[in-house]
Amino acid sequence: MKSLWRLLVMAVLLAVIPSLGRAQTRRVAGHITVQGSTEPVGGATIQVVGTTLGTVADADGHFGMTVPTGAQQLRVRRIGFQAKLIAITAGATGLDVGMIRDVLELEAQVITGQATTVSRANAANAVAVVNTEQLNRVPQQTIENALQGKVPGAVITQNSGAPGGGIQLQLRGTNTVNGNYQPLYVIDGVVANNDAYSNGLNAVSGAGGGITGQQGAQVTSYQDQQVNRIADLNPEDIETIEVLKGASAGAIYGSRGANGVVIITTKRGHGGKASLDFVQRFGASAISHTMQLRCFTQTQASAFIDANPPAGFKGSADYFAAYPYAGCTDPQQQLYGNNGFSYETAASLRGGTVDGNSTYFASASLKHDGAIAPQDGYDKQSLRVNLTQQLGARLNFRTNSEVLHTLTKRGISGNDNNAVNPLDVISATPTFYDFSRKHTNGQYQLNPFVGSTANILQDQYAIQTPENVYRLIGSAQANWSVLASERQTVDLQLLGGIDHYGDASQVYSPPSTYLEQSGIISPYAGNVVNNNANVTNANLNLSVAHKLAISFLTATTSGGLRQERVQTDFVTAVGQGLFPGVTNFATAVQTQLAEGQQLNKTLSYYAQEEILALNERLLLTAAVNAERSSTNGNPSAFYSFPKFSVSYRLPWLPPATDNFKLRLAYGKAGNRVPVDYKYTYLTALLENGVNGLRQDVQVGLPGIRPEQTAEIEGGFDATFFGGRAGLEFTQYHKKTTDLVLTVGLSPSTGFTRQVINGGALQNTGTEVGLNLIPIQKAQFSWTSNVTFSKNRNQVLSLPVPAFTPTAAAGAGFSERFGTYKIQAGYSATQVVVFKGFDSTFVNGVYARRTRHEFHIGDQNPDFQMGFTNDFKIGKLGLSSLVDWRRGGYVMNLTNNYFDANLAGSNLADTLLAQNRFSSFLAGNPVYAEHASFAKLRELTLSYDLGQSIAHAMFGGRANDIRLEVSGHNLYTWTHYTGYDPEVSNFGNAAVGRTQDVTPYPPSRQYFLSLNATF
Amino acid sequence: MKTYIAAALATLTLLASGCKDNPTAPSRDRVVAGSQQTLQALVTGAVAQERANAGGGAYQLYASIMARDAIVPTINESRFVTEFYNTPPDPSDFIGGSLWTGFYVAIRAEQNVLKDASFTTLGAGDQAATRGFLRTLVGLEYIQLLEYRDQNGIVIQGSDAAKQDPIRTKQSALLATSALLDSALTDLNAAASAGTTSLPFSLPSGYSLHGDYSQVANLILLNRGLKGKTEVFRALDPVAPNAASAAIAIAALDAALSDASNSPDQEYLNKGPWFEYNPSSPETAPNPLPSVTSLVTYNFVSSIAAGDVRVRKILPAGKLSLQGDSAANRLAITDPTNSANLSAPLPIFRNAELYLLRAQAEIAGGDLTSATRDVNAVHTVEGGLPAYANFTGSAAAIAALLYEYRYSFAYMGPQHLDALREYQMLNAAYVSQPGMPGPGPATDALVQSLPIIQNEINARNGNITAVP
Repeated sequence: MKSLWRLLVMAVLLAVIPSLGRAQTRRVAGHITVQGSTEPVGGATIQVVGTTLGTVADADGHFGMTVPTGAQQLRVRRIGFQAKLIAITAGATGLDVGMIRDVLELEAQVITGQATTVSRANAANAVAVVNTEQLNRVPQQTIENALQGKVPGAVITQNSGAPGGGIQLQLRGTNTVNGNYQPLYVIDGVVANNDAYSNGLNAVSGAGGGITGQQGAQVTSYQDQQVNRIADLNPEDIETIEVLKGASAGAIYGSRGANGVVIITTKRGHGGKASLDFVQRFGASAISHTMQLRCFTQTQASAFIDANPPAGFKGSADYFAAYPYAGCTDPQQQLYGNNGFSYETAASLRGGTVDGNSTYFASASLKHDGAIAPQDGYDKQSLRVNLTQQLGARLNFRTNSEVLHTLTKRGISGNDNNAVNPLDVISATPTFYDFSRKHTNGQYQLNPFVGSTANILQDQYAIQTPENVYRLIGSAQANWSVLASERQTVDLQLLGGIDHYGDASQVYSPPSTYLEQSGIISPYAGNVVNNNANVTNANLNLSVAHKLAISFLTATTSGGLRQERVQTDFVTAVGQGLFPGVTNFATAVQTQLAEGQQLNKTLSYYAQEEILALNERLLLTAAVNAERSSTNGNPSAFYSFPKFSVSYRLPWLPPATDNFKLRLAYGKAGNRVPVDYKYTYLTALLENGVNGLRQDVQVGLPGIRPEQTAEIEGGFDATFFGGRAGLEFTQYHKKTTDLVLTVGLSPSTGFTRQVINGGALQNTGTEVGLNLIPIQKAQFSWTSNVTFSKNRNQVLSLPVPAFTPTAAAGAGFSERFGTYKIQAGYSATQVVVFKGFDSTFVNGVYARRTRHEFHIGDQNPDFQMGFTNDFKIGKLGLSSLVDWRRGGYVMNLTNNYFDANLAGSNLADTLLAQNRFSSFLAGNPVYAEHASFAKLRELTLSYDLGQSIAHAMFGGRANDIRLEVSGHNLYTWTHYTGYDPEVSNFGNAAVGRTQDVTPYPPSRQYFLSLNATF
Repeated sequence: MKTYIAAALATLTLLASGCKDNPTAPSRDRVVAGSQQTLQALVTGAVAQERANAGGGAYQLYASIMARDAIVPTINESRFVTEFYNTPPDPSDFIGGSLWTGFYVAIRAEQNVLKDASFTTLGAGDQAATRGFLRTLVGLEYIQLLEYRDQNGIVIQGSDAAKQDPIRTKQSALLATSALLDSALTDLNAAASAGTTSLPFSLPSGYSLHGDYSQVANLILLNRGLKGKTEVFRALDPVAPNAASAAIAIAALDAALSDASNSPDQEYLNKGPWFEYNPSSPETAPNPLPSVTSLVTYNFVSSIAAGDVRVRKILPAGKLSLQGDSAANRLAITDPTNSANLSAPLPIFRNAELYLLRAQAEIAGGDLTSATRDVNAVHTVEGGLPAYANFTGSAAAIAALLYEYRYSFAYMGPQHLDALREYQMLNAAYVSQPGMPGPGPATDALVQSLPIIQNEINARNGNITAVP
């Protein structure tokens, strides 16, 4: 601890050592434009090589700076352009610079520390960078949607096709069983909250056991398909996303870096004339796949009813008198046949003073996404203001703030034990029953084929599922240039950020529906669940960076600390037995309340040394992050997370090769201990009006330690043919130790599981990126990008016998369908299936049995590939993204519903369905299916009207207008027999995600967009 | 410059404030031990867990299905059929894996009370009464566990929570339970000798609904009743019957019924501790039995004797939403349309069972006259039927006994199942009606017991052989 303080003090003292001397200087002015045109390049940085002297070009591309006398070299950089090295002669005082567009993103700056960046050309890690154009090629509801197919090594899955998100991102396999498995999101320096809260749907669906217990008991369920709240962000405001995929890059984020870090930088203003970007979009969506249902002739329908009379009917004559034969209806189209009209209006204004000292970026957007089912949908409104103010030569202030509101209406889907989920009801209702038929009083008819008597159309209009999120993400940053000399700079940065939101969700099922009146949910008709989550993430960062530039190297020493606080409070109120029209739970006959509180406090120190040498060919980095957290067994103990890396750009290159960089990085990062794992809690309960306490069934671990992942990655980046081709290759290996496991105990001890630290798992993988510009003409260009990634996971050791994870961590339903097992020698995401018992009876009495199970595959794919192609033909643009995922298993319980819920199956191919169900009953794992697919993820056709037409239309105020027609998830090629192989109903778990349980059906979206710049 | 540096260092110091832990839910480390409030809360926690176990619905329902008195033919959960017919229940499934863990959680909670500082601050009499009460409760829980696991055996939980205790055979577990109940009796007697007449904490209201079981005297009666049940199990165990147990059982049951009059009435037959339910806020714990999907079998309906007043328990199921059956019946207590059912109490152990248990012991001992008297105690009062003449053979006595168990304890627990198993008559109880496998015993393979649950198997690496 003392040594850390000494290091920090040294860093500050170093900064104030006066430079040894100053060389004579001169003034150089210049102008930067796009090569081959007069288009200015504003915001470029110009630096004298071998010194810390530099400046930034204004909005018109003009710059002026002090340069030492004598021949010098200037390095000019701007995001979106290839860096340029320019030699200036001894007497030169002016120059013009032509910049070439960096189509392959080779020169983007990537983050290496909390206050340091390096050019991607030198980076020692494979950092994926996705820019705003790539993100918003097709309108996206959430940023996770926007990243699909664009980041090698990322597996992105979606709970279902319900609007508004519910998407999970996993980088380079899973490092954990019980801990957080998603990357850390950092937005303009603010550590963003990506929690997911249940809306309490199980109070109606009975999924996950439904409401149980009292006072703190789990009244919400992981099966409720929560939305990870990173979905709130507005993709339109994002300038770039950098994805640090593993511990070797994420070590600077300490105990939250093991799963990778997604660093989001939002747009900022620029000096000079203001510009206004305006986007107007209209769209529609349509169900992309339906199950082929069984049709009945009237004779067949009569025979069916006679053999299987619904409750209250003696036979077909009786039944058809009440419900006339309706032919062959498709209830999927009746419910999910909406076109889901969508629109989005977004405008952003950016500008600043001519000298660039004050800049602003302000944006507003209004978005509505209709859904394929009536009433459902997604709305988002956001306002953002980013300001920058330079005070004198040394002080710079930045603020970023976004206020947003989202409203999601996701309807009912997923696991269901009350015959309320539409697909569950459809699976049990023959197609000669017409859900859309109404009584003369306008009411839908009761459905006699299910225990709930639920009519899916009545429920769709009656049951409300709004989730409102109001969120503020803001940060204030002060940069103080303590020292700026020719050879040295010392910069101090203080950043405070907050991410606060209130998530108010409700499930309201009025007492008037057949469902409620059937008594299947509760003896009291009318249910409401009101949830309120209050979440605050706050972080404060202080960092000092000292840069020393001498002729052969630049050394950057940085250090600092970060304090973080995460506080959540979640209250759920359930009411059963409501008056019609009343949604206040307190008026219900039965009420339940539950509250969950969490608080986590973290403090970390870091120090880093970065040396760029040999004419910027060699980059060496060493860093350590020391961190303590209140969730650790010992909240005072520091855990250290070191990092070392080296990259070297070869000076001798084969023909046609522009650049060849070798890189190697090692790093260690952690995965924070889940809150409250160290205690054995007492569960509160109530018995006949008296409060009671009883030990929880989970034994905590008082000395719990965070999971730690050490990763080594190596590879090369090469560019060829004058920047026309690029190849990236990365091989990584990471090992996670001290796994936080909740292992099963012998329940006869009075506890069912115990938290332990122990065991190890590894992930080994390969990532390849190939970028090509096959054609680059003035009127025709073609850019192609191919990504490939594969990951293999293996549990290396376990201190306990193999076990099935807890339900919330992905137990699945049953081995009969396919479940997950943590077992040494196998992948942590392996799928195992049950293959029957051999039972032994003694004297007719069951004595014992031998259980058979086997490993069938893995939830995660064998490999993934993404194919992006952009064509530009004059003013016409065409871009596409095809996402190919091979392998992986999904447990298709949806098929099980359709096979089993109606006598003889409700699928068109009844023979296949019956055989499948018979095979299942015989103990065969017929519902564990391969989930390979290829998807036409994005397709965009755009037309640039050009400046002349823009001027003609808007009297010279418009610079550019572009029209776009685009589509999302337009087509899927797959052998998977369910709705969508990408389904992940229980997505918020590291393992056990690939459950397909009557999900919200997937949809394809179409958009017409107009983009204008003024 | 110095000012700036000082400010920076001060900021560093400020930021480096600690990460003091701040748990937000109660843990053993956070609850104040040694207080009466804590003692009350821990005892309430333990007895509440017992209600969650034996009063949670499955305890009543599963035995009724196994005895073929009940069916649950709902399409929404086919496992009530697939797990109870044809194949033994899957130990990892919600049926085969049930009625195990909760009992051990309760037993651990009861052991925790005895270790808590709040307990050790009590006087000697109060300590003995508390110990006697909790040990009697543990004995009850072992009996309830054995009713479902039968010959698969159970674990007798040790005092060390970190230690995995062996699975004991039914015979061994019964012996241990019997000894435990005797030690509890010693404690209760010691409390009485010390002048302690009642427990030093309050019990849920069901414990005073039919007799005040916070009173040491009544706890002694309860203890002897359970001892009698344990010994009847031992005496009639089909695998290893213990002949000496019949007499021990009669002695214990005589003691348990020592406060009876010569002609017990319904109130006396109901005497015992009960579970009470409160469906309203803030407790919101309704009686779990009311359900649209719980039916009684055709055989249950057709076999009731003419004139038996218990027929009023059977209701037509009315508007049913069940596939494949439009002529079903249910018990009045499972009728979800009767809101009074939501607060209807369920017996934990009542005197009517003591009479029938004593009759079993008497039949085993060849005393059919006394057995007739005890069967008639239930038959005449609860059935409203004329008294049987003295049984002339054990077969008739057993048939009459089974009849009383079936109709007096329907949806009250495994009493009927226990007796069917003991007399090896479970194979006669097949079911045949729409939605069920059948007809006849050939396709209705009966489930004798629930398996040792999968987590227990896993924790033992598959070795669940019970040890004597």
